[in-house]
Amino acid sequence: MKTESEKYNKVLNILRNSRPPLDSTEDIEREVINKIARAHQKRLNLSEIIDFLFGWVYIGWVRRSLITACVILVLVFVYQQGVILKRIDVISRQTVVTDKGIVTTPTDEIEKLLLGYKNLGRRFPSKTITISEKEMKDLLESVKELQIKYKDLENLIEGDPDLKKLIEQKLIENNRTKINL
Amino acid sequence: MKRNSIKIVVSMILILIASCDEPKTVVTNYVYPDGSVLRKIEIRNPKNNFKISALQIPFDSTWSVKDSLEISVKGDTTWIKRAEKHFKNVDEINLAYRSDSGANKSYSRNAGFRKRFKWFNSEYRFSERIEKISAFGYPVKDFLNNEELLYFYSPGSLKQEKENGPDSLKYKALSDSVKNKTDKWTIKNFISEWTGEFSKLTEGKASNDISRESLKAREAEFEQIIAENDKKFDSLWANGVILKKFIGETNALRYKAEADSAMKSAESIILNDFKDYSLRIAMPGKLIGTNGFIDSSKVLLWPVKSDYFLTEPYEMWAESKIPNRWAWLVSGLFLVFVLTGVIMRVIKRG
Amino acid sequence: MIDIKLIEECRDGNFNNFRKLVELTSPFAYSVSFRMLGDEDQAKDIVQETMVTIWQKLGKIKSAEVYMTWIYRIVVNKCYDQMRKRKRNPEFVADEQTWALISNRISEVPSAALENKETSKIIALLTESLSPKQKAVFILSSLEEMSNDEISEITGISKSGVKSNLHYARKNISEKVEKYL
Repeated sequence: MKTESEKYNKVLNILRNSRPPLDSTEDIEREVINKIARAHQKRLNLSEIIDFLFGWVYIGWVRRSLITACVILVLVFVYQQGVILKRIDVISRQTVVTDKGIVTTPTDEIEKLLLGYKNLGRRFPSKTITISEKEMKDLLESVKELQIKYKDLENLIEGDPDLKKLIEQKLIENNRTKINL
Repeated sequence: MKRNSIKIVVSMILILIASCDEPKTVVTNYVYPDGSVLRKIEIRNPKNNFKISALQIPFDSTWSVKDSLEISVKGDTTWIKRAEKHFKNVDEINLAYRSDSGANKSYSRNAGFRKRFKWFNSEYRFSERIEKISAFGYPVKDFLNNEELLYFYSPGSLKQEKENGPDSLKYKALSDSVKNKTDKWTIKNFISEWTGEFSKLTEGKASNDISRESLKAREAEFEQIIAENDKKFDSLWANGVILKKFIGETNALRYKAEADSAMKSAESIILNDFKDYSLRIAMPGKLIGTNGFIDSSKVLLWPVKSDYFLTEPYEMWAESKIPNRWAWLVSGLFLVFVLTGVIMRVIKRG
Repeated sequence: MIDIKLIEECRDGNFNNFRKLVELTSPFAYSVSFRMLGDEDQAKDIVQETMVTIWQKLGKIKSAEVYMTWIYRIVVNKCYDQMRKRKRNPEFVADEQTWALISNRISEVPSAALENKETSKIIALLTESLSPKQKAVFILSSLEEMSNDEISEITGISKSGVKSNLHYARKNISEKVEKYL
């Protein structure tokens, strides 16, 4: 044990006494001063840049003009966005349609011509049209259906004298020249 | 009486069939920020017979065209033609309108595009306008209130939806009201058109009692005469009876030709042959205004019917905006810059 | 020992006085950094960087003791950073031959005759398996002869931590000494 710690202590002593010498501090001093000067220069440069960019702050009229410009910009932005948001709000409440069947219906065409016929006693201009067999079938079916409905309506009215009287009276009162019963 | 009623019914059905000859057309304009427009037309026809003369908005070989068909559950076949073309600007669309060879070629239609740079946003406006056809008519808004006007301009599908919806009674009553008032409006327009045309034709020749102003003042009287004689109007007009009642025998005899000419002109305007279609517009960016109807995908819809431009021009317009992100960035940086300077000054002073 | 007046004069931006401070401080800063890193150039760089840092923080140094603690602390921390960078590339590899050479050299020389290269090699080999903290504690205690309290202040390790790190380092090194030297 003693031998062990003796060896250890010896090594430590040698190492302890072998303090690494610093041959010259001048180089270190010079380098340190240079580094400090460079860092100082960097700070100066930065400060110069900041002064360059923000020097206007110390010129009264420039500062006031830029601040005014900022205020105007903000106001314009707020106004524009306000107007747009209001318009979008109005839009969002506008009527929404579903996508199916967006075309106009042919009854609009009929309405127009019927109006002319009804109110101006116009005859329809004669025209030749070509229709398919299917359309002819549909046409005849519709006529048949209408005939049956018309007959039913007629019977209904004929069967009720009070109703008949009422309808006739209404027609006379309104001086209507609709399809007469 | 029965034969009359059947005659009317048959005539109505014939009209229905005749109008079934007309294709159902939807025109969609996809508008881009540079003002170019991709125009798509979809035409549905119960017959495989797409006559150019019958098309509301015709197309030619410069369009890209595709055909297809659909067969419904009932077995009805619908032939579909889809055409599309990219227009560099609205001038090209307007040129196409001017050289229109279709059913609506005589109607003056015009497209417009405008871009406005507003620093934070760019605003776009696209419109299609049809000029009015009646020179002497009355605006429909003089006859309908706001709710009725909205209903009047609504697409057919929306009307059907409302009339079959929970408030069906209300909308059916509204529909009847609009119908009655627009009937009156049409008659008034007809009369106004005739008196306007007639006074134009007799200008300088006739006496003051058939001047425009005096005839206009007596339109209600003419309306009354028509109402009293509507069943035999055609024959009474042909005999000059109605005209005599209105402008006196002397004038009626002297200006029969002008009166007939004015009548033909009024008929052609009021009972015009415009073929209806639907117009849709899809705008770039976010929608901010329109006078159309918006569907679920933010595409706008207008029915295009002759009633809408009978007495006033019909303009279908939409506006949208796209934010100018670079302007936002520049403004933000500017604000930060000024704020930084001010804060630095405050700190240094402090 | 550093005079606090010198430090105070340096605070006013006096470079001449600062040069003097560098001259006085560099040797013991160099000693620690060389023993930690084993490389002269790296040790000199550490000293320069330490002095630049000291220049920037002169305002916070209120006494000579604080100054010394700061110097060592900065040196040790910078050495840690450097050691982390070269962790994967050990400078010296221990093999039988190397140990034999060292053993001969130690038995030959009187207590303070080792050169810098030899010293750095021996320290590197002996502390090879120690962590940077353990190495720092060992060097500051056994080679720089500082107290546990001082070491605790410099390294930021608690006093008990210093003790245990030191015990482990000594044991480890002593085993190597017995085995190889």
